[in-house]
Amino acid sequence: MEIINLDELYDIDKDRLFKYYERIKNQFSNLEPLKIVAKFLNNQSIGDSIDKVYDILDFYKDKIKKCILDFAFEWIRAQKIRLEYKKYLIRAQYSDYELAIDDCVFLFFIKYDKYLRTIFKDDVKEFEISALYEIFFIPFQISSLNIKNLLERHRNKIPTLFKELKRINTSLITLRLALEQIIKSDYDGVLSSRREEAQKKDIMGKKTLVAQDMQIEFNGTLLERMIKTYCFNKRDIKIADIDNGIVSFLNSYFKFGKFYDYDEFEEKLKNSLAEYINSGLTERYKKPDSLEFLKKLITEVLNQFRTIHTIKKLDGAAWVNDLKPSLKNFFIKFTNDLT
Amino acid sequence: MKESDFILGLFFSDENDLIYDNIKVSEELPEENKNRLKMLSYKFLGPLFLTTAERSEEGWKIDFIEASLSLKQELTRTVDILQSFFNINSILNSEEGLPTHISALIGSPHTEDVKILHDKLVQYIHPVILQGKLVSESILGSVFKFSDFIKKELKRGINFLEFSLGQSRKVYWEEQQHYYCIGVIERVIERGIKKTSNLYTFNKDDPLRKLALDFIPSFYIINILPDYYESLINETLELFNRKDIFSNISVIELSNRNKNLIYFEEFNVENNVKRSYGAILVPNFGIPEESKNISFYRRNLRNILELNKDPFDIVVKINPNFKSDKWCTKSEEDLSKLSECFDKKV
Repeated sequence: MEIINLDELYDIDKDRLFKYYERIKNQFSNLEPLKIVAKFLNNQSIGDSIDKVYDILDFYKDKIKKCILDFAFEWIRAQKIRLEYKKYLIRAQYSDYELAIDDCVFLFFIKYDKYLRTIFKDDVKEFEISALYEIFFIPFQISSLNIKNLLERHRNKIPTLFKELKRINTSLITLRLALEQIIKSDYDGVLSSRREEAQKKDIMGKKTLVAQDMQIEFNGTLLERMIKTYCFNKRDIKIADIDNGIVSFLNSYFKFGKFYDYDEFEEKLKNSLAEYINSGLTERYKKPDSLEFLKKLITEVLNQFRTIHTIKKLDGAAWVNDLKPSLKNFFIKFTNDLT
Repeated sequence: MKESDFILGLFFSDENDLIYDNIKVSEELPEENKNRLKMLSYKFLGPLFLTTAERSEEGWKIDFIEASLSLKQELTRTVDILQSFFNINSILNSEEGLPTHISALIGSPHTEDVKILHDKLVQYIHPVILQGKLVSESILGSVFKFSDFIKKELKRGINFLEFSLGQSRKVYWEEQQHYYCIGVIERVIERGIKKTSNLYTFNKDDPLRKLALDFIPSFYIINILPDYYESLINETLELFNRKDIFSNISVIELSNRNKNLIYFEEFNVENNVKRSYGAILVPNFGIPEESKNISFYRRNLRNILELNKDPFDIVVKINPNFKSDKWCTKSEEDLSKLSECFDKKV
């Protein structure tokens, strides 16, 4: 087995942490050992309550080969990895969620997974590991950290496979499934703070573009910029950039985990997209009826979309996935037709 | 950057040797080329099947192929030049113990950080396909469709590789390692036709020749690989409508558990005649004093091409144990003779 030296990658000051743990142990010598570790972790800003941390430690104490304090140190190390991963994510540009998941899993979590598995007993189940990843990497402000609920949810999703008596390695899939929702929602957070930042800058700069009217919730500044650049230099826009622009436009409105009725956004989407594209057109390409023409074109695209997608209410992320191909094709065709 | 600036293909063959592919193709590519591209995966995966079949208990793998690209002189006005072209392979056994292959074909206007692409393919994309298949099968049961699954995974894989493109190459420690040369291949091609192909190596009865067999798949295989891949890459470039450039094999890397082999080639072109000299290098051969780093071999191969000397005068500097009688490897018959004499331990 490959020996992973994680201290080289994500160092934690175990000596200092141990001294701190000893202090708590001496201070609360009447408490049972597991409670002391829970208190120690909670004092390190881990978990939203000592009781919930205790429940987690209580469950995992029988699953590991090492002592519970080593497990606690790994929980602290996970926070360090999360910090590094978030720093990276803030600068990253992905065309879709799958790419974000693959990239982050590959860069930040594979080595940690290999290392962490060495502290577990051989009979630990995959769903128990994946639940632990959720515990370790979910931001605490939104985490309820109820171990029973967590395990129940992961049990149905992550199987542990055997061939005869030999366990089959499915660690990468466990990792991918365990972290996909966390990475998606973190990246959504990054995108929305970027939007907020961009909006702030726009307000500060007192830009008066119609498309930036505060009433419009879709933000297509990226698409607008692409059109503008294209009108000036006529250089082909990279498909990945178009992907990115469309996704960012849709993500500015649709939120992951929130459900939307098609009828509630159709008009907004049509008007915003038309206005952003129109605003990106330079004088050479703009005609008096450009905006109306664009609205007509987008209406046709959306009507076609409706003939295929008949479901009325969907999650924000699902609308983004469903709408992306149609809008992307429309955008490519529109730019190609610009003469 | 335009999509047509890159060449990007990902080929997968499962344990039954069924092949699936995903190739990024520019809209502008003629339909005929698009149809011919369908055979590309078979051509690149073909040698991998062969090397797995050859002495399967040892299982030599072709890990990496790289070609340097040059502009054809009459077509130098083009601006969108590919700077690197390489093929990364991974072979992993399925749960049934049968080999599965994945092969990434990448052409790029940048030098590219090959190691990160290699790690993504070998440590993530390939194992995820094998593990994902098992997990999906266990969850979905009879509803699971492998063809849909692999289509999605290859698309995901190719996007993941594409995401890393555009980086410049870094020097990794492996390149500073010392290697022992067990042969120098000489190839001369005139207007696309092979004129000469020879191998400088030990005498047939030299114990070093017999020792070398422990470090390579066979002299036969190594001698056919440069020609095979060079013509395959030229054919690929044509299919992608890159008729303004031609390739020359620069690196072929093979491995077998803890054994590694690097074939490393330099070339020049004068009056439509392309001369190439390549060194077959192995690490840890057991003669450390005669092992040198790659730049030593690169320098001497360039000297053969540039100094007006008998090539053997420099070949003997690369390895003093080589004999001046070179072995002709031009035709299949020559290669069979070589194999007969050189690929037997006795």
